[in-house]
Amino acid sequence: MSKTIKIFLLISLVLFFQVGIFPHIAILGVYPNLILILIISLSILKGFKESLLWTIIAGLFLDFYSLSNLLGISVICLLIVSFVAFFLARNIFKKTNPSSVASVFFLTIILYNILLLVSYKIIGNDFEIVFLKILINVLYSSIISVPVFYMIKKLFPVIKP
Amino acid sequence: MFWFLLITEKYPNNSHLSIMKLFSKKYLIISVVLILGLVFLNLFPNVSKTLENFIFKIFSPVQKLFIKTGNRITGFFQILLSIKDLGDENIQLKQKNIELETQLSELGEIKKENETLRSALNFSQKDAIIYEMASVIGKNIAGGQDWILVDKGAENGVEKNMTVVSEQFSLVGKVIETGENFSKIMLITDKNNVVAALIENKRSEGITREENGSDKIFLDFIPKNENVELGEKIITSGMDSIYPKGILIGKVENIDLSENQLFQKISILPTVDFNKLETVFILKSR
Repeated sequence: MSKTIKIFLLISLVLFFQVGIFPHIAILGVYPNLILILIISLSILKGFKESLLWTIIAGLFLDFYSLSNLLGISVICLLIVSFVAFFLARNIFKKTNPSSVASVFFLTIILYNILLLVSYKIIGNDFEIVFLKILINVLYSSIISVPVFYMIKKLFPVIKP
Repeated sequence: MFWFLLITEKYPNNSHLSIMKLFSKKYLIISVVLILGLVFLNLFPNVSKTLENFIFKIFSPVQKLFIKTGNRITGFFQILLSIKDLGDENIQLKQKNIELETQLSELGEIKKENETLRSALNFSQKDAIIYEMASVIGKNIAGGQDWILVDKGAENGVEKNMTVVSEQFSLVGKVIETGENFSKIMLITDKNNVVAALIENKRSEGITREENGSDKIFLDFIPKNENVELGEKIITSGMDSIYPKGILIGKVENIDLSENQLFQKISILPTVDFNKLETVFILKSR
């Protein structure tokens, strides 16, 4: 299967589940951000630099589909999270077993939520901190991220350091 | 600075991990171009709106298809899970239908009488409302169910703060942003969307708001001595000058009469299933 078809298939699947399926299986109105999971996966598998363009595009996409007044918040947050994921995967959790993968996702998703919170507070957007929702988001996303990661791993070979 | 030195000291020779590699000329240029691009888009909102419009136009047919397909798939599984209740539900719905038809004919008579009286007293007609049908083409991608995207915008006469209702004319929310061909609708489940409402039978007025991150809405400022019953209808009161009077919001689901509260806390079961919204109507005045 050519790289272009793989990418098209992946994006279609992510979008389908993100807008078509997950809203129906939300917990307290919260469901995983598959685009965030996709970017973290690509950063772990392909490296930060190789996934840079996808990170920027995904961030812009998230910004357009948000109520934020400032364009670029999601781009910057995703870039930071993508780098941290890459760093953790290459240095701290070196093996790609399920527990290491889940740990990287757990930490980076927490970081993403914190970065968004801080960014919205700085620009003055009214962003209510609901810890229960954030906790559910982190746990739900971390559980979903492991099978998603391995699915993406099948589509894209790992670039060894 | 300390952390930077610590990391570069710990990983001095690994070519993939050296932070210094990130500051190579190529990536500095990319960073500068990205920052300049973002600043430009934020300084010129018309440009970003045009780009936003373009992206929504490309992705909206795809998203619409995915939302519809997702609704069909989950709807199928819900039917399977609720199959044993279908018989009872059918009987209840038939009974309800008969009651509603009776009410409808009574209301028809009242309407005629109203028109006759208006004509006799020379009352002017209220402004007629035009309904603009719109399809849901997107949702909050990042998760959360506080807003939706529809395929009608300024070109179709849609303006900010217009009321949006479902196919069954129950309250969905209001328009908060318009582009040329799209509009963002803030749902009534958003914490920033406060609606002036009243209990239909009692006529007690209050406001609805989202219940602290739960995506449930409740009616506030109803006095404790008000005898509210489960299942009573909650409608818009028109007191906020945004939502017209008389639009159904939902029904009373739960009543909390805790001692430490000044008012009753009435949980509302919205009439609209926001997960399954595919078509809405935007209320435009003539």
